[in-house]
Amino acid sequence: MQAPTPEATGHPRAPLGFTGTLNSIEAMHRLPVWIRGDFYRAMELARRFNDLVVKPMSGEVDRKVMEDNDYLPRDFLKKANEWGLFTLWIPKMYGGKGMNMLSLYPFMEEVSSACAGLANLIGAHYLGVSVLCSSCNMDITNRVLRDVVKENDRGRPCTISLAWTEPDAGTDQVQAPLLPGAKVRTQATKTAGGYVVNGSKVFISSGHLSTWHMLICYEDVLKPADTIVMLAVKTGMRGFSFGHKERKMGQKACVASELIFEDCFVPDENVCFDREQVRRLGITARQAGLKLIDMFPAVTQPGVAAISTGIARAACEAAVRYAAEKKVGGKALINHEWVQLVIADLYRNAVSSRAIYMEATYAAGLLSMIRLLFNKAIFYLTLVTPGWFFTLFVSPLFRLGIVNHVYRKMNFEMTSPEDERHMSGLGSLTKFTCSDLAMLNCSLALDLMGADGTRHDLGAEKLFRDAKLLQIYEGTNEVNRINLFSRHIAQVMPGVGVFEQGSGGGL
Amino acid sequence: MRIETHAMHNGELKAFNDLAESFAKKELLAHVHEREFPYALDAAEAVEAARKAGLLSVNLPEEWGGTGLDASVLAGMLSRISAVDAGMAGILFTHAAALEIISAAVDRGDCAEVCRLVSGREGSPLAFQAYGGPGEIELPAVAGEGVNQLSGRLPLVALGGTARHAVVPGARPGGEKFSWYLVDLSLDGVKKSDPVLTLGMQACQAVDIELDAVPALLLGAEGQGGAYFRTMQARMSAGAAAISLGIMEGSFREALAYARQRWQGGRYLEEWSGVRMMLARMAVQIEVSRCCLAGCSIAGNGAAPGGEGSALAAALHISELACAATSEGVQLLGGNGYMKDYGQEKRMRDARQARCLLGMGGLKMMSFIGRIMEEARA
Repeated sequence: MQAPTPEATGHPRAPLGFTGTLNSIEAMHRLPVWIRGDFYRAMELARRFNDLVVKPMSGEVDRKVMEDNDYLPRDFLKKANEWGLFTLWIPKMYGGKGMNMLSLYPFMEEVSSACAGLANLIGAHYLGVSVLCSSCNMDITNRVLRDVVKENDRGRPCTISLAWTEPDAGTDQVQAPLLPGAKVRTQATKTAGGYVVNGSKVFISSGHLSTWHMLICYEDVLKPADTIVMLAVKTGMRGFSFGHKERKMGQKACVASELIFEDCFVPDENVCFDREQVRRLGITARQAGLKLIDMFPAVTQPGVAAISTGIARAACEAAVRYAAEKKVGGKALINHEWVQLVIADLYRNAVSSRAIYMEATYAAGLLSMIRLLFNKAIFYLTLVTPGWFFTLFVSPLFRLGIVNHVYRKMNFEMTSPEDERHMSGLGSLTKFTCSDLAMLNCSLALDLMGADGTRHDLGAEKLFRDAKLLQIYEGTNEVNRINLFSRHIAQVMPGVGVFEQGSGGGL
Repeated sequence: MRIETHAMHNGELKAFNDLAESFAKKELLAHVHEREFPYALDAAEAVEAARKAGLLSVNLPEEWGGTGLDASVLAGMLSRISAVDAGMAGILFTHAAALEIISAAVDRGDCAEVCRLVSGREGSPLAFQAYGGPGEIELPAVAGEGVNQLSGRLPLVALGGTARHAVVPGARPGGEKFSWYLVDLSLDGVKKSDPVLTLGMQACQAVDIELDAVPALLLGAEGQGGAYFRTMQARMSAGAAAISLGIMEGSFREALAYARQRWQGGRYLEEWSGVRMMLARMAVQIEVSRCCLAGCSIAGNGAAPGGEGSALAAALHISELACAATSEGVQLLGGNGYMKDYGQEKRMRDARQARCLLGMGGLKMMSFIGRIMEEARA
C-alpha cells in the first residue's frame, strides 16, 4: 500500500526545526574562544556597576518618578557614561571600544537584576545602535556612532533611541505580515535634499534622554510595507520636539516618550534607509524593508530576554532572602517544605531563562546580522587592531558608495532565508518565554512574601511592575508566539496560513 | 457582580448593591488615580461620603446602631465598588473586618465602651492589619494587670494613619495564645510612619505603627484571638473574594471595550481569534468566580455546613484567578494597558494586593488543609 503523501495527511513535509535550535553545540567550535572571557568580564563589570551605582539609586529613582512623572534620571546617565557603558559595545570600526556585542546580554541580565528600568536606559541605547547598524548604511552609521563616542568622551551622555511605535500602530508594525494593514501616520515626504516628516511616535524608550533617534516612518502611509524609510533625527532639529512622558506602571526610570514631527526636515545625509538606497540590490523595496524590520529583533529580543532573566533571578533572590529572615509560627519560613518547593521552582525558572537566552545569543553570533563580527579571522584581527587605525584608514572608506553597496548586498542577500526564518522565530521564542518566566517568578515571589512583598521599601513589588512590560514591548508575547509558529512550524506545514482574515469568526 | 443567592432576591438587599454601585460611580470614578500615590486627593472625602451613605455600618450589629446585614451583602457591595476602585473597597473591608473581630469577641450585653467607640454613623473607620493573618504578623507584647499596655511594632496597619482607633493583636510574653485589643491611636506612645507605599489598593493607606506602653482595651476573652480571627475570616473571606471578583469584572469590561474599538494589523482586535480566546478565558474566570462566591455566600449564611472553609477556599481561588485575569487585561490593551491613562495596570496591582487580604496565601492554604485534616481525625 502506498503511503499517503505528507500533503495529503497534513503532516510536516519537513521535520520541525528542533535540530536548528542546538546553537550552543555549533558555537563551541565556530565562535571565537575569546568571547567566553568577555562574558565573564561583562558580568563582573555589571556587578561592580550595580554595587556602586544601580542599587543605591534604583528604589529612589522609581519613587521619584512616581512623585513627579517629569523627573528624568540624568545623574544615572552621567554615571553610566563615566563607566563608558554607552560606547563599550560600539564596534571599533565606528570608533567605539568594540567589546563583543554578545557580552551585552549577560551584562544586561546582571544590571536588570538590580533595576530593569535603569538597565533599559542602557539597553534602549543599544537597541538604537542595533537598528542603525541594521540599515547597513556604513556612512551614516559611522557618523552617528562617532558623534556618540565623541560626545560621551567629552562627558556629555549621548544615546540613541528607536522611534517606531505610533499611537494607532504598535505590534503590527513589528510583524512583516501585519505591516501592510497597519494604521501608521508618520509620513516622510521626499523633497529636494531630504525628507519632510510629519506625525508622532509614542512609547519611545529613553526618548527624552536621547540625542539621536532612529526614526522608522513611511513615504506612503497607505502602503507602509513598500515605503519604509529610516532616518537619523537629532534632538534640536527644526520641526522635531518631545511630547508627553507616559505614566507607566513600572520600569519608571526609563522614560517612555512621545516624539512629535511637524514639517521636520531631515537631510539626505541622515537617511539611513529608503527605497532609493536599495534600488540596485536586486530585491524589491518591500523585500528589503521587511528584511530590515526582521533582522534587528533577532538581535534585540535576546536582550529583552536577558532583562527578563535578571528580573527572574532578582525575584528568586528576594524570595530566598525573605524566607530566610521571616519567621512563621516560630520557624523560619525557609524551613517549611512547601516554601522550599516554591523556591526550587523560582530557581529553576531563572536558570532555564538564562539557558534559553544564551542559546539565542549563540545563534546571534552564528546567524544574525552581526555574525560577520564573529568570524574568527575578523574577530581576532579587530581585537588586535588599534582604534586609531580604523579611524585613519578604514573610516574614510565608509563614505564610498561602492563600499556601502557591497556591505548592504552581503547582509541583505547573503543571509539565507532559512537562517533569517530561524533567527526570527528564535528571537520571538526567547522573548516570550523569558518574559513569561520573569512574570511567573515575580508572582511566585509575591505569593510567598504576602503583604510584605507588596511594600515598595522591600523591592519585590517593583520587580513585578517592571516585569510586566517585558511581555508587551518588542511585540506583545501573543504576536511573538504567532511569529514563532509562522517561522518554525507553519513553514513546514502545507496549507497552513498565519495572520489570515476571518480567523476571529464565531468558531 | 450578580450573586444570585436566596438572600439577594430581597429588594432591600438589592438596594444596598445599587447604593454601592451608585456610590462608586458618583464618588469614585472620576478621581481613581488621584487617590493613589502620591495622593493628589486624600481618600478622606470619599470615606466621608461612604459614611454618609451608610456603607461603614453595613455589618455593624443593629443594637449598636448599624444595619446588621450579613457578609454576602457586604460582599456584593465590595465587588461593585472594586470594579471601579478596589482601594476604596479596601477601606470598607478593613473597617468591616475590624468590626467582625469586635462582634466575635465582645459579649453584647457588656460592651458599653466598645459600642460607644464604634457605633452608628458617627463612628470613625477602624484601623486593622487587613493584610495579615495569625502566625505571620508580629505581636506586640502585652503588660499590666487590669489595664493592658501594648508595646511593639505593628507593620502595615490599614487606615492606621487616619483612624482614631485600631483593632490590634497582642500577646503576653511567653504566652502561646494572642488576644485582640482596641487601641486609641491618638494616645501618647503611638508612633506612626508615613503612609507605606504599597503595590496596589493605595487609596486604603497603611502605616507602620510603634507602640510604647499604650493602654488598650481587651476585646473578649484573653487568649481567644485565634478563634475570633477564624470567625472573622469565615465571614470576611467572601468580602475578600468579592474584591478580587470586582477587579476582574472591571478589567474584563475595559478589555472588551478596547478590543471593539482598537484597530490592529488590518482589523479590529475583537476579530482576532487569539484575542477572543483571551477574552473568553477572562469571562470564564469571572463566571466561575461568581459561582464560587454565590456558593460560599449561601454556606457562609448558615444554609449549608462547612461555610467557613467555603469562603476561605473561594477567596484563595478567586484571588488567584483575578491575578491571572488582570494580567491578561493589561496584555489585551498592549502598551496602553501598561499606562495609567487606562485602568488596567491599576487593576493588575490591586488584584495582587487583594490576594494578601487576611494573610499570606501559602499560610491560608496550610490553615485550610489543617482544618480539613482536623475534621477528618475527629
